Formats: sequence, structure tokens, C-alpha cells
Amino acid sequence: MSATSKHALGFRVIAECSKTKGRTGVLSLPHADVETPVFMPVGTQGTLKGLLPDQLEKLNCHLILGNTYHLGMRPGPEVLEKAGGLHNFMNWKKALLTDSGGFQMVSLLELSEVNEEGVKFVSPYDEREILLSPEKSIEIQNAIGADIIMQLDDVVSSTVSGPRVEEAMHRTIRWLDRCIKSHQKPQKQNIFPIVQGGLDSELRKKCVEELVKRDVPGFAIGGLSGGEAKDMFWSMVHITTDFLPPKKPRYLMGVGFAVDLVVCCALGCDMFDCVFPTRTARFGCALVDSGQINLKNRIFAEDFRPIDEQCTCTTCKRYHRAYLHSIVTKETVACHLVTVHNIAYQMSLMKSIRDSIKSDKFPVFVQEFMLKVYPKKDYPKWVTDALAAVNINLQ
Amino acid sequence: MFTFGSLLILRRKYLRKQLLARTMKFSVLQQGPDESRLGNLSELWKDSEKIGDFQTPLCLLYSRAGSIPHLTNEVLQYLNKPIIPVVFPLPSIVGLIEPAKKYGHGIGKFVGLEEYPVYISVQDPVEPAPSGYNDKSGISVWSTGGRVRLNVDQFMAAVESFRPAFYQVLCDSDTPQDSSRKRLTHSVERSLVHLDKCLEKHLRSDKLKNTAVFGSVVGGFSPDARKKSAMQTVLRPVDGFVIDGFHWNNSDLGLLNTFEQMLPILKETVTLLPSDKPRVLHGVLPPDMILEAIKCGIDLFDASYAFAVTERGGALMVPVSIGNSPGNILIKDGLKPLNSHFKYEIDLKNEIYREDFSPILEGCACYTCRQFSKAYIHHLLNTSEMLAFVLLMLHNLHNFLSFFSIIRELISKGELDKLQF
Ligand SMILES: [Zn+2]
Ligand SMILES: [Zn+2]
Repeated sequence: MSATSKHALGFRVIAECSKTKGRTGVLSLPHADVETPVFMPVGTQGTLKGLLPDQLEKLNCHLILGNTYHLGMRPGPEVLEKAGGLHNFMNWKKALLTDSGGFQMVSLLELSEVNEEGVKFVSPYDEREILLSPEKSIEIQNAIGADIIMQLDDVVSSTVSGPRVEEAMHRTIRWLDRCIKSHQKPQKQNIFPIVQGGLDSELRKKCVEELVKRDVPGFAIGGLSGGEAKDMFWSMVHITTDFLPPKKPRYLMGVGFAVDLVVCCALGCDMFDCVFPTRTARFGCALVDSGQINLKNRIFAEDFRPIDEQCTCTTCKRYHRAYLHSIVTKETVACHLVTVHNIAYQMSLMKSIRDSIKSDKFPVFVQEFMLKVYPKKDYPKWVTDALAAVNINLQ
Repeated sequence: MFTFGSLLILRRKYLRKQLLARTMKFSVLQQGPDESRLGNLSELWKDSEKIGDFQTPLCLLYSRAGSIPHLTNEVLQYLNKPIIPVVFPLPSIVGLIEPAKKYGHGIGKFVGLEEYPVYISVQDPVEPAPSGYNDKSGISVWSTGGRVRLNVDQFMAAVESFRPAFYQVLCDSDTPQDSSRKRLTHSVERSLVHLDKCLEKHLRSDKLKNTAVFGSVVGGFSPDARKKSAMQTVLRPVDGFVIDGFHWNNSDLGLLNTFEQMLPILKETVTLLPSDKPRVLHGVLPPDMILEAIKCGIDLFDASYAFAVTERGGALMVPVSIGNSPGNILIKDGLKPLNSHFKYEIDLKNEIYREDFSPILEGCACYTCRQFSKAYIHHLLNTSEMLAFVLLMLHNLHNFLSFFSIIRELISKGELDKLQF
């Protein structure tokens, strides 16, 4: 399959941008070959917001994310094991990635407590106390059977600083070793470690140095996109990708806004996930190059244009804004229609990025894209700074 | 009410229009047991294109707010059934009258269902319409935004902007079982006045020249009122009949009881209608009641039953192939009817399906059964995921429509009597 053949993953960089750190490649996974940079929609509970798996495939979406915390609760690892894994259970033929469950616990559950053993929490379903240890996380992820699985990490909010951040970084490394040790299916499932270290470049560097000592198929960048200042966000991404080995895929967790995606591709990230495009669809918000439009707005009541005239998705080919306006937030059909469009938007954005890198026109693409988003050229400072750091001048 | 003279004028106009225009055609192909019949509905007009043939007894697709519930047009194609006319209940699209008028291509294209012939019904077979809001000048329909009053002019303006292939004329069908004699008389007489006024406008409308119009036979549960309504309505130049005003909506669990009282009245009413025109009966009707209504001579129904079952997390188990014992209801382990009229479904929310990896109905050719298990749908219902309703709607619609195919096949073979529940 590739240079890292002892893993169930191959990563081949096809083209690199001559100016930025952007690159495009193919990630070969047991269930699909996935072109990078890739956006992975989030299908939390073994389904993606009412879409048929077939619809996702038609949208050229070949890698989606499932949440270990939710799937571990319902239907639970026993059912998934008996079903022959999540692929079989939900009838998804392409690739899957699961998170470790840790992030969800810390963010969703007030009662969680973290110690060296793992994350302790009280089940919201039956109020039992449950311990999610690194071993338990991997056990559930083995039952789910995703192509890529995540180590359990010690998640600290990106707005926290001080010794807790360093403790979490060291614990994350210790937990990685426990995860790798308990991983039952390394020939079928690829485990990614998670780079932690908060907003401290020294800690991030130290963390990467430790992680690369382990034989892992790829890396995730965690602990960002959690409300920290944008200039801290991009500089941490920038530093981390500088330290990471170039031949392995880099997954930037929790990033999915169009501007962030374009900037972080320029900073050398390959994989992204975010609930935003599908979550916002539920509220009638459709993604367009200028940002998003809220179809609930009365100005669309007699607007007979599709969401985006350029878009080739099944929603834009058949439905106009006026009808969508009349059903958004009321009918499930509206949610499905906007979700299809929003996923198509994300997929098409990533394809444009890949194509422009292949033809070495990525810097021009970035400039044109930013001009569409900010037609008055009122670029946020962090965007200008981040792009300048990789030799793209927006002025 | 109109005089006999004005009725003659109306009829003359209608005949002239019949000569010039092209509207829906209906013919009875074969008579079955009792009053049941195999029919053919053709030349449903959609803009300048005609669609047909549709064999009856036929189940029309049920829509709300312009869409088949839970199914986008893309997903509706996974149903893998030929195009069928769609019922658009007026209450659920009343908010679209203005935008559809500006749009100018009819409601079907407006909502992304342009390939499907449109039929507009006055009330929603699923949503209860509160009683006591109709008067001389018009009726009330209840949309998500609340009550909307419609008089004849507003109703006909709506029909012109929606441009259906056929529609039910404005009527006062507010006749619950305990209606007073006065209420029944109002229902019958006002409906006839509305009908005549609508027909006046209809026959003058250029936009509706290819549109077929269905009169409503009302009169609640009173045989006398029904008789009067039927005998007067058949005198009018209409293309078909809707037997309305049985108030299924308000009688959820008493449906069976209501149905038994309704049946002789329905039977009686239909005998007063000409046999060469189609008859519609709306309502959330399970298979056994559909069969009874077909034996009374009803030709067209709607799929609101499949929707109602879907909404409660049920999966229909009506046998879909004619084997050695046609009509033999599959009672499998776990088929736990909640009460007598949930007997055709299983409740997929039930814990017993947690690890049941078999399809809903063995041998079912629908997309859901070919691709997904009961355990998966149970999980989706358990986690309130929207895909549960997409998959259930695909199966339930497929199953319900297949039930109608079986009925047609049995009538054509002269074997409908073999189907028993
Ligand atoms: Zn689109
Ligand atoms: Zn089925």
C-alpha cells in the first residue's frame, strides 16, 4: 500500500504548493481511498443527519466521523460487535473515523473527573458511574471498527493555561502508550495520537518529539478551535505542522469554517472535521462563498433562485430559496435539503483546494477565495498574518 | 342555491369546454366483487403535458407543506415506484398561495415535485380541523401559522396559482358524528353553493382549462343529508367525486367504531354516483378498511396511513406478495399490536429489536429492507435520529402502495374475494 505498510493506512503526497505548506495527496484506508485535504462530516450516532449513506457517497464523501462516546452509550459496543462493526450496522461502505470519546465527556458532562486512570463520568441514561480509561476507549473503538481511531487524550480547554496544560500533555503521552498496547486490530484500524500542549509552543514541540518516537500512521492536532484567540490558534497550527513529519497525514480536530479550512490547508493540515455545516443546516442556514444565508429570513420568501447558482448538488438543481424558506425549521425535508447542500459546499471547497494545489495555483485560489468572502478586503488580521507566514500576501 | 336554469347553463358551458379542452379521463376496466372495480385514470394534465395511465384502486402520495414527509425528491426516487399523483392538502400549502402565484409554474414545480401530477384536497387527512369555523361565505383551514379563512374567490385564486391536474372543490365538510340537523343542512347546502360558484369560475378560467374538478359529497353520518348532497352534486358538471365529511381526524382511537357506522352510508352514497367517474375517500385508513371502502366502489385513496404509522415509529407488515394464501397477515414474533387497528405494524421502538439484524419484512423489495436492519432503525428511533423516519417512510410507503398493487391484481384476476383480513 505505501511506505508505512505495517499500518492499515497509506499516505501518498501527490503535489505540494510551491509557496505555502499546502499539499494534496491520497489517504488509502481499508474502506476507501480518500483525497486530501479532506473535510469529514460528523455522523455522531451512526447516521449523518437523516442522509442515506448512498447520498453521502454521491456527494463524493468517502470518510465520515462517528462519536465514540455516543456510540458507546447507544447502541453500545456489544450490539456493534454483533452487527459486525459500525460499517455493517449503518450500511456505510466507505471509510470511518472515530474520536476517543474524551472530548465529548469533558465538554458535555459536568460530572466528569479526570485522573491518571481515565475520565470518570456519570451516565446520563442510567446514572451509573463509568470510567473511560484509554483501554476502554480503544475497546469501544475496536468494536465500532473505524478505519482511523483516536487515542484517549487528556483534554484541557484551550482557554486554560498554567501547569494543568503541561500535566495534560504528559498524561496524553502516557495514555497513548496504554492505547497502543490495548489496541486489538492494528492491522485493520489506524490509531492516531493527539498533539496537545495548549497554546504553548514549547509544550507542543515537546509533545510532538515524544509522539514521533512511537510508530504511528498519522497525527491529530488537538486542543485547538475551542474559543482561543484566532492568532493563537493559527500560530499553534503553524508551529505544530512545522514539527510533524511530512510523510504522515495531519488531522486538525474540530475545524470546519470555510476560511479556517483554507488557512489551515495553507498551513499544511490534511484532514478536518466539524459539526457546523450539518448543525447549522438544521436552523435553515445554507453555506455560500460569502459566508452563509439564513433561509428563514423573509427576504427569501419570493426568491426563486437556488441556494447557489453555481452549485451542482441535488438541492440546488431542483429547489429554490422561496420553497426552502417556507419549510426550514418546520419540516425534516428542509433539514435534509440544506444538509445535502452544505456537505456539497464543503466537498466542493476541498476539491477546489486540492485542484489548485495540483496545478500549483493554490496561492491565487486563496486570494480569490478571500476576496469572495471579504469583498471589501476587510480581512481579519489573523487571516492576513497566517497567510503571510506561508508567503501569501492578501493586499 | 342555483336555479335549475342556471344549472343548465353551467352544464352547457361544461360540455362546450369538454369539447375544446382536454381534461382527465376515467374508465372502468373491470368490475370486481360488490361494487369494487378496476379503473383507469388517464390524461392528467401538467402544464401542456398529459400524464397517465393510472390504474385504480390507487393510493395517491400524501404530502404536507409540499413534500412527501421525510423524503426529499432525491430520496423519493429510492421508493422505486412509478410516478403517482400527489395529494396536496390545502391547509398545509395555504401559505404558498402568494409565492406560487408569483412563481407562475404551479405548486408541483414550486416544491420540487414537478414530475408528479398535483391533486389538491380541501382538508388534511391527517391533521384535525377544529369544528365550528365555517360560515356562509367560506371555510377555515388550519395551517401551521393558524386559521386561514377562504371564500370562493380566494379558493379559486389559490387553485389558479397552484395549477393542479385535479382538485376538490371548496366544501363545508365540518360534520362530526354528533352534528345537529341544522349543521348537516348547512354543510350540504353551503357546499352546493360553493360548488356552483367554483364551477362558474372554473369554467371561465383559462389557466384551469386542462384541470379536472371534483365535487364533494358531504352530509356527515346522516343518510338523508348524504343522499341530498350526492343527488345534487351529480347534477353538476364535475369530473369526479370526493366523499368527504366523515371526520376521521377527530376520532383517532374510535376510528374502527366510526368506520363501522360510516360503511353502510358510504355504500349507499356511492350507488347514487355515476359509475363512469372516479370516487375519492381520504383518511388514515388501515388495509382492512381500505378493502371495505374499495368494495363500496371507492377508486382513489391517499397514503396518509403510511405516514401516520411512520410517525409513531411503526413498520408496516402487510403481506406484499400473492402466494398460496393471499391476504394471510404475517404474524411474526414481536408483532405486538397496540390495539386492533395497529395490527398491521410492528413497533420498532420496542427493545426486542435491539439486536435483531434482519430486515423489517423478509422478502420486501424496498430500499430500507434491502439495506438496513430492524436493530439499526431501532437504534435510530432510540436516539431520535431523523434517518429513522426516512427509512420507515420508504418502507411503509412501499408496503402500502404494494398492497394496492395486490388489490388491483386480484380484481383483474377476479380473485379479490380471496383477500381477507
Ligand atoms: Zn447546492
Ligand atoms: Zn421494506
